[in-house]
Amino acid sequence: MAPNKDRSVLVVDDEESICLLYQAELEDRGYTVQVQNDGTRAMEDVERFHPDLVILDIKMPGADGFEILNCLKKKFPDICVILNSAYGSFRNEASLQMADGYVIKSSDLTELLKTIEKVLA
Amino acid sequence: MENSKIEFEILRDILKISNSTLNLHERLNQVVEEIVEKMHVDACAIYLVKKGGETLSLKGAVGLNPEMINGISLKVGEGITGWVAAEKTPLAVLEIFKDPRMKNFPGSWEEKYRSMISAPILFLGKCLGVINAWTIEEKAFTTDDLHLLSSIADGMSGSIRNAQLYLDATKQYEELVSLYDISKMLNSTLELQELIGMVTRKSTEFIGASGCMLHILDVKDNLLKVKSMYGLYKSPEEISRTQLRLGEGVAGQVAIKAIPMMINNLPEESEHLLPMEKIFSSLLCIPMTVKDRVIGTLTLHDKKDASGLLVPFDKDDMNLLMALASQGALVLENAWNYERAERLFQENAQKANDFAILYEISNAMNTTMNLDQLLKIILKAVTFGGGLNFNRSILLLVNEKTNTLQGMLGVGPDSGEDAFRIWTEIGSKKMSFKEWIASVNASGQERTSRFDQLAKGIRVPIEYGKGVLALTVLEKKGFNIRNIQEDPRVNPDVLKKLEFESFATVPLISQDRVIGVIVVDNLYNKREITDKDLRRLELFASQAGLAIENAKVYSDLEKATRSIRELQDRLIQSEKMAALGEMAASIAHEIRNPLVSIGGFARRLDSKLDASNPEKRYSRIIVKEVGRLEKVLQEVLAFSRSAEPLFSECSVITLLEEALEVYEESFSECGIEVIRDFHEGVPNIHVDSNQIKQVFINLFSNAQHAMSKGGRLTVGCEYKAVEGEAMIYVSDTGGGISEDVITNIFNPFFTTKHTGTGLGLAISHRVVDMHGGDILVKNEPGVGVTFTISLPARQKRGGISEEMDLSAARTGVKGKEVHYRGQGDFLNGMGKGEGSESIP
Repeated sequence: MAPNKDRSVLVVDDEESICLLYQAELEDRGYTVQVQNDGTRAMEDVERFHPDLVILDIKMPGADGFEILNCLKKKFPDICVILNSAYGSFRNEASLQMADGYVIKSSDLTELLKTIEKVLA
Repeated sequence: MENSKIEFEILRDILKISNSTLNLHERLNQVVEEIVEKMHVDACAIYLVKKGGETLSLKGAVGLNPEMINGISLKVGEGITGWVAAEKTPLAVLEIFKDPRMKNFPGSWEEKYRSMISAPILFLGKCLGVINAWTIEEKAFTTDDLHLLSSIADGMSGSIRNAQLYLDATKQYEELVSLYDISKMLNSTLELQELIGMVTRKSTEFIGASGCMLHILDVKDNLLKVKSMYGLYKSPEEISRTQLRLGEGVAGQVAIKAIPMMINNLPEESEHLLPMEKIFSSLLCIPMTVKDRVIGTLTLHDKKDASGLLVPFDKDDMNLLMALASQGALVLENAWNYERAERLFQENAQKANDFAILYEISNAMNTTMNLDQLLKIILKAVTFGGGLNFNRSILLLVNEKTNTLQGMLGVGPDSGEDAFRIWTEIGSKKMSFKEWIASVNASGQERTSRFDQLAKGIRVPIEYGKGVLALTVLEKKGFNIRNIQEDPRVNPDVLKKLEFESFATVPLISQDRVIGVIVVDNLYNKREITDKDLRRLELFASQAGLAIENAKVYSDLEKATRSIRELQDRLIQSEKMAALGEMAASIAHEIRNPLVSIGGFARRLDSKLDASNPEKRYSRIIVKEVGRLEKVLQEVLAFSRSAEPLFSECSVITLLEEALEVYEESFSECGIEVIRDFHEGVPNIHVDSNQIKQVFINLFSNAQHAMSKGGRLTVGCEYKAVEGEAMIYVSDTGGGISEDVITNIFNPFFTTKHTGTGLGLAISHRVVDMHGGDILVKNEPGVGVTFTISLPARQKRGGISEEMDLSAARTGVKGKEVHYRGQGDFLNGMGKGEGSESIP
């Protein structure tokens, strides 16, 4: 668990249970994890914690993952972003290309964890 | 004194007789009786000069043989009587038998008398006749006697002249009446042959000739042709010359000069005459003219009088015949015109009939748009008795791709007996073309004939030197080959088998293009194919060409309509799918998130539980069932239209390995051996990695399902440089797919599994489609199934081309098009139930 100790991750998702699951799994692997259920407040957290990685849900009440991504990448190009969605695909491809990774939500987190490692490597 | 008293009495009586109402004959008899009584002579006779002034005929007599009245006829200048008539001088003869002028007519009783006195009957210096008186005893007649007889003659002359004039008038009247009758008769009919016969017969009878010949001038060859004969010859066959050139023979001369000819002293005057004309003793030939144009000649021969003696033709005969001929000519001309008009009418009627049949045939052709049926109708029309009436016919169509003429259909009997049977059958029923076609269609008696089979085997390259059939196409015209052996244009190989001896061809033309050829012959009845037949056939062929073109256009149209309808059906289908997809997408978010939580925490719990813990069984169930739910969700989402590919560069082998990893556990559980057959040098492919991986996963899932009791899975990958494609194949040993299943495997929601959406292969197909690739399935029943996927994989040559590929793919338009085409072909192809199918 030690290898990921100095790596911080912010999870932005309106589903509390998902945030909880991700936090537990990531912390098990040594990551420092912050969660935010309110998409509108995602940028505040980014500025406050300045994490290495943001796991970003796309469709949230009152907030659009792509907008957050845009804003975030402009301000902090060094922060990695993995888009994580329940949807199979999106029309907003250009924004999708701005992200460092894109993983469809699944109860099997293997894919997500692999992508995180790859992105932070 | 006494003499002058007698003279006065006689003259008074003669005048009385002359002015009486008695006819001339009786008056003459009374006059001769008066003279015998008053002049104390023993016999008296009156001769009258006949018409024409050349002969004298005994008309009234006392003391001569009464039977000789009208029987004695002598020329002016002949005998004593003739001398008096010629000299117009009275004469007294003491002893008649001593007079050198004397001419005795045996049986006339004149030999009884010795002395004679004779005086001419003169009227205005013209001799009308002669009065003779005889005595048995020798008597010297005095000048007084001569004077008296002359006075009597003078007294009679007026009366005789009047009588003659009256006679002439009567005769002319009678002739006119006859002429009128004849012309009335001539006008009673327009039957040319009857008329011509009537003209010759009436002319003969009217003039009193023995026979008549009518020549008509044929304007086409300027020959006079015998059209009718009466009398000696009954028909033109009996004479040596039935036609004469102008100027040849009597008729020829008359026709060229347009003036009549009368020859009364044959055979002496036989110059310029034909042998057949020389057998007559007299000829009268007159021209028949209409508006100064000679249309023919009428020739009479051998006039006879009432007693059957030959007599010469005279001027009156000529005039009469001319009057009759001019009438006849007019009537004949009319009859000709009528006949010509009628012939024209009949020709037109024939043409109208032709057109009626063609119309009927074209109607029949319009009843169908089915090409096969149409071709059959066309050939039936060609061979139908009331139609074009050929024995056999073949229809060939041009194949533009191979540039050949191809036999399509042959209609005709196989043998003479066959022909006879069919024709009697049709003949006995008296069917119209429409009825016949209907009966043929209804009875379905169309057994394939040998002729038809041979016809269908014909293949002729459309080049010069390849025979008449090719020539018909190349030259765009029909040919009438009278002798197949001798005609160098015929290619004997092609038509020998069909037993053609002579035949005709005609091109089927539509919009200036030859689309085929019709070949016809009359093998069985050997009827010669005339130019008229050919013209009718050509006329028909232009109709048929149009009908064939129409049928083709109709069939193309039908095909187009069908494909539009299919497209429409598929559109509706895909609309449904899209709607389903959108619905799925909208609920996916709601379902997937809780599933992620449930499944995620279950996995967490599961990993924390010790293998010996009985609770671990339950946690595994949760994990497995959530996984199943997620798979369903994923498939439904993937099938929705919103799932457009997200392209990136990736390795096929990596994707395959990642997909295999997902099923690694399941495979080993089922006892499935996995064999990797990855070739080197496979370039990276530009794909939506998630979607392509999903395709592989789907295939593995099916393979696992098929080999649930173990087997061998072969996964291969290689690069096809020529096609620029990466080939991926997934082969199992699951026993293959049954025929009724394989036709459905790519259809959405079709499944043989107890669980599953039935979307797996449908999605795979669609995904590969959108990537511009192919998916093929090779089914070996009893062995297994091999899926082969080919994906475009070009070796990198430069940034630009790659970018272009990218943009094409990204527009999404290409993807959709491919999708429709792919499914269409796939639907058509699957119906065949073949082992290997292409889904482009």
